[in-house]
Amino acid sequence: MCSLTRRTAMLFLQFAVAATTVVQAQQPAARESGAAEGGPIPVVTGMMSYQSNFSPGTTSINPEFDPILLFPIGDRFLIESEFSMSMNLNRDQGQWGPAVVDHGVEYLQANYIAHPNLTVTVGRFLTPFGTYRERLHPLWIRNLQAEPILFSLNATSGNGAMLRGSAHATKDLDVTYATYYSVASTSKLFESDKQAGFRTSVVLPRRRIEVGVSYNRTMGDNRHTMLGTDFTWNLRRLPLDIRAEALTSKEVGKSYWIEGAYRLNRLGRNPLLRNTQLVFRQEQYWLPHDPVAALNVMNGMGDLPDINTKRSTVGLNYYLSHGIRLNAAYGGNYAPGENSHTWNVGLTYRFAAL
Amino acid sequence: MKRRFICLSFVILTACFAQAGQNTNHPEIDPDEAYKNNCMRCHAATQQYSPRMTKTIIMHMRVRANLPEDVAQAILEYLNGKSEAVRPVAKPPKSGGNQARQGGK
Repeated sequence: MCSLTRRTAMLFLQFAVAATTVVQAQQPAARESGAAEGGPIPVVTGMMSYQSNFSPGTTSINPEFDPILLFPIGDRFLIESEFSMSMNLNRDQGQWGPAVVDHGVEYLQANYIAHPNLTVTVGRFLTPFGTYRERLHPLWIRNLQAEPILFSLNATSGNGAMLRGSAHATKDLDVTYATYYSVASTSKLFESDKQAGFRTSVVLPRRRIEVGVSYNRTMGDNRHTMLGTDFTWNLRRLPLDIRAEALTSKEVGKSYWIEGAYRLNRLGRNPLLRNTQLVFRQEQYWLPHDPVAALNVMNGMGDLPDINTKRSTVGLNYYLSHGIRLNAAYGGNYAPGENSHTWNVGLTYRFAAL
Repeated sequence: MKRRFICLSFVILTACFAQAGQNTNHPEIDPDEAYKNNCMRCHAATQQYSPRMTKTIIMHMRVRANLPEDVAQAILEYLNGKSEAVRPVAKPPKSGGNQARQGGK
């Protein structure tokens, strides 16, 4: 079984290299964009965040620091990495608990832009399932600090190889794709499951709409298959962004979230309004129908709720200059016997140097 | 056998996509539109960096957001202020709803 897996991985890599070579041979000489002004340089960037959550009887404090290194070599090769450090400190029933420090490598990958429509990635990468993990989960990007329920199912990184890219299918329609294969790792910093999958999407740039479909097969201790879809629409006439994701799996259940973010800049020239954003998110999770699968989930698989759950969250963001954002949110968790409400306030600071 | 078939399918699909873009005539892309149509899909706001740092960040975003090469190039032009459309730096976009070029990456 193990040797079959190794052979499959080797086969995948061989084909990846072959495909790269073929498309590389077809493309015209690489365009050295802006060579006269100098090429890309290494960038150290990242984020610092301080979040506090308050629910009846419990307070939690979560500082986080995520440095990112981008190291380009020429115009086509980029090594990039994000390291994540966070602390969770809880105060329950009047007593502060121990500070739990967590750290890990979110990604450490080498990207080679082999062709205008193909990038080859090797190393540790964010799993391209839906849009939340790859694009929205950084604290300085997400509109609400609380993660959607379904994020606990795909908050993973993979160690392996990935092929990705996009192409103009027509004048007004682009197609994107990402396929990946990851091997299992139990290393604390580089933990991953054996998994394979893909995401493909259709983008209508002029309409600012993207619709994607994702597939993932996880082959570790908790074997499961997930099928997901995502939708993004940045309206042109209104300062409103609508995003949604849905996921279904026989083994881990079903879930969706839908979020609207409205910028108040149309309500007046006052900077207070111009820099303020209102956010609302609705989400729901259903346990799997299969009693054995439901029992697995209830035993703590993927940090999922152990009961059908509905959540509503409303938030307010205020964008200051120099990458600083203030955020506040109020959310309700609705489940039989587990109704609760949580307040969240915090700030994020996005920095870049070098 | 099944796994090999899946791997082969992925690779063939990838090669097809790679080939597809080559033969498509795409009109010249307006940098201002390219920025608003793509960056604001996820970012509520972006920050300004030096031109060489911006090149690096665009490489990163080209991979992360699956941007086509010509679109990434147009966004680079926009962010580096080469386009006439971006001269009024502090002006918020007329459409698309989000504030341009302040805060965040």
